[in-house]
Amino acid sequence: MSDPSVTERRIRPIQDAVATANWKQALQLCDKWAKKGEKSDRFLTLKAFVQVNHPEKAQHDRGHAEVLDLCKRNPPITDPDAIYQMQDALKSLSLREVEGPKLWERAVTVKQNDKDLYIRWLNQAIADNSWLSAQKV
Amino acid sequence: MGLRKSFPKDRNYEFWNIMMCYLIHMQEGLPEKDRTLFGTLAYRMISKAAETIPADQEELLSPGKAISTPEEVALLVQVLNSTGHPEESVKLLLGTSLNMESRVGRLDPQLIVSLLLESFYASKQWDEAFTTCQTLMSKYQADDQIWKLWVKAQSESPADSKRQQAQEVLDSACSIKPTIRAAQMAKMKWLHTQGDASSDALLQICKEYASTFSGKAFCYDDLEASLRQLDKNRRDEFTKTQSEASESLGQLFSLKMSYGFMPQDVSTKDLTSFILQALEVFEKSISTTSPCPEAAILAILAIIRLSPTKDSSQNTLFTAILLQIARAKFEDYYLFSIFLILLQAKLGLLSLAMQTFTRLSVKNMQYETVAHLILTRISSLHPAATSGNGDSSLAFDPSSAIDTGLTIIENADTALVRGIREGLRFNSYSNIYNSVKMRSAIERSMNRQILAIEERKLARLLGVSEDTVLPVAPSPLVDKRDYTYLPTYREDDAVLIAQYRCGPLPKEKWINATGLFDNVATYLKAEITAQPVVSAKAYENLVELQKRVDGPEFYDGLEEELTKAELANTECHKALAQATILLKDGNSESISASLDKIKAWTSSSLDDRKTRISGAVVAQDVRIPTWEDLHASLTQLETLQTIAMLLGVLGKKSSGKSSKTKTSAATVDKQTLSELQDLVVALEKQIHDDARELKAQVNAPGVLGKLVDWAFGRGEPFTKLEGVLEKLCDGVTMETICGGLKESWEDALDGVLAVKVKVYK
Repeated sequence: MSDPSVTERRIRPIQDAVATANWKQALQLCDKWAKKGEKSDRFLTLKAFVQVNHPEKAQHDRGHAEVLDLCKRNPPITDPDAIYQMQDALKSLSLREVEGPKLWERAVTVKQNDKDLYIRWLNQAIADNSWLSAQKV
Repeated sequence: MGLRKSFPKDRNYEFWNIMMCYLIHMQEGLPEKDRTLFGTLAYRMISKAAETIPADQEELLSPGKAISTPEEVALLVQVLNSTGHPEESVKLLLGTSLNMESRVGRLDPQLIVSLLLESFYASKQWDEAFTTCQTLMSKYQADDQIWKLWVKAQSESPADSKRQQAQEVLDSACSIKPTIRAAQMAKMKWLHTQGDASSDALLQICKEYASTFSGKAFCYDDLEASLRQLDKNRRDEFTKTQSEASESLGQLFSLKMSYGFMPQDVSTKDLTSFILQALEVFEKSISTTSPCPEAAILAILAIIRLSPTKDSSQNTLFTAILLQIARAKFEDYYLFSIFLILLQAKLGLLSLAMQTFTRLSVKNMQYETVAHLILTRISSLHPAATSGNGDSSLAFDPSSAIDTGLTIIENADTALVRGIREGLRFNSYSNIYNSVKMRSAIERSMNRQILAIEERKLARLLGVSEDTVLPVAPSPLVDKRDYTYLPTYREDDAVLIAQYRCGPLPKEKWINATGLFDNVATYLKAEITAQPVVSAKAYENLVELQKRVDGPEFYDGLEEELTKAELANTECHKALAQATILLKDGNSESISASLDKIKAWTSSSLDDRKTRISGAVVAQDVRIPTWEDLHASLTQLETLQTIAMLLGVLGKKSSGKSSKTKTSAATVDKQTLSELQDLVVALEKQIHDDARELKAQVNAPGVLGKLVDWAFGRGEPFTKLEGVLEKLCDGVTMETICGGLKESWEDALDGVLAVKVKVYK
């Protein structure tokens, strides 16, 4: 388990690069921290998001595959911020409508008593106007 | 539902689940199979929650999963009625578990009544509805909704026995003093359904009603339908029995009667004497304790009714000035402002109309429903801001008003999402569906599309650089523009008032046609300024939109949405789009056909201007710019600018400066380009010359005097009104008003002169 404060410190500059759509720099930062052994879900999902948006096709394809792997991973992602990040990545791949709700569904199967996770899912389903997803919450 | 399984003790999650199933059932665009399935689920779950309400209600300690709050009852009825089980709602709402005396019912009996009425309409159980209403009346005698259903139930299931019974109920309810308005209204409605034999009774009740309520503002509205049912003789009898009212509201009722029942082909003489009468009532009422500004509205409607036979601008001007005088007496009477906005804009007095609009203090969602009054076509009427003539509270900037409108519409979604979440959290289910519906209406708001287009048109005209692309509008769109605040004393009032808008109401065809042009302009500009991302997106949109405006069905009813100027420009815009597509494809041969069309539009517009005198004549011989002149000029300038950009791009390609596109084979013969260039310059010059000429007309010596004379009714057909007008307004004030008109016309023409076509070489 990675230390959240370390992760936070590493992620921030990547997010800054993302905010200015500087995908190349963002990916360089990702590679740097990956080498140092950063493995938190927040980091992994952000990296996949960066790759998906990278102008180079090879990177984009790698990101695409990574996103799909993360969707299917066992144990599933349960960190809400990582799930939100995944939703953004899925949106870039036009997969959010189908795959997005499944991420929440998988997360709550391992955290059945986490009311907060349920409510976050519900809130997102409401914002998306997706009642089929909200009904599953 | 996971929440329900993981937290089985929390009863709210049961209802959340039902709510979600219900929302899926109501969601459009989902497969019918899913909707039915979830509708059935919601129905079963909520029925169970209704069945398990404990019989011994007083002893209730923990409600378990049974329905126990009014909000849950509302959800129950929503689900039952929408899944085709309204008769079960009726049964439950009348049964011991949920009726008004039940434990839940006692918490909100009014809600139970309204749910019951709603369910009866859905279930069409008219016999039960009739008896139930009769029972409810003992308690809620003044509730017109109960009376309404009662009358409806009776007419849907007429039986002689019931007819007799109804007659007795009505007679007894109508004899109660003080008079119950709802009962009397019900009697009138009931008599409408009883055929001609009841005409005398209808006349009688109308008389009784008027004798009680003629001093009330609502009297005419309540009686209108009944009076229209009466034949002319009976109506005349009704009018005769109306004694000369001494106080102003009674007189107002008589005025409404005269106006409302004027024959279609009323003579100018009768109309003018009505106008005089109405203005006198208005004038006399000003200093009394019960003023009636509405009398002035009737006078105004009567004046604009004169117009079809006479030159309409003359009468419009007279009306607008009269309204300005009337508004000075009643600053807060909003109808004066509404009519003023319409008439001032129609007369080309856009800066004044904008100032009037600011007095309405439109806010929040009124930007969706009311702001169209001034913002429709604002970019081609008065793109610049108005300072408010020294009064900063009257300053109005179209760009920032549109920006506010768009922001409000966009933020509404966030507010509604919050509302839905809070609705669940606090278990108030009744409004959730409405919020969901409203969200989808806003998503597809027609007004939002129109505002977005106007915003971009304004930016282009004002030379503000814009590096975004107008997206293709979704279809179908939802139109929430409201007109219900306009008065209707006659059935044809709405049509009459609609003639005073600046052009027909823009709808989807307008949005597509204008959207196409917008994307052409964006594309060409992006080509000139080398913004490949913008130009690629704009090109994609314009190809899509061109499909929408191609084909004969696009022309069906097009003139119901577009002004004459817009219609004339559309052909040129389509040719511009075509030329742009061919240019991008490097198809140089076919492009000349499009260029010929553009040339044809330019030269015919030029010829038209040269042979026609612009403006309209008012006050006997003063020539002024109307909205149509301003609109035609600004839309032509806008089109010319885009032609100039096309010429710029073509010039660039043919001179081979562009190295990016290998297909720059689109070389067009230089002569065609220079001819078109000359035409663009000539038409622009002609538009500006026309504006300058009108400006000179407005500023000619003696204009002010002529306007003042006209406003005081010193010209036919208003000579009779001079006396009352002089009482309403003194000469100095009138001069100030008319001076203001001149300034506003000048300002509008300056707006045309300020738009200059930029040439790209």
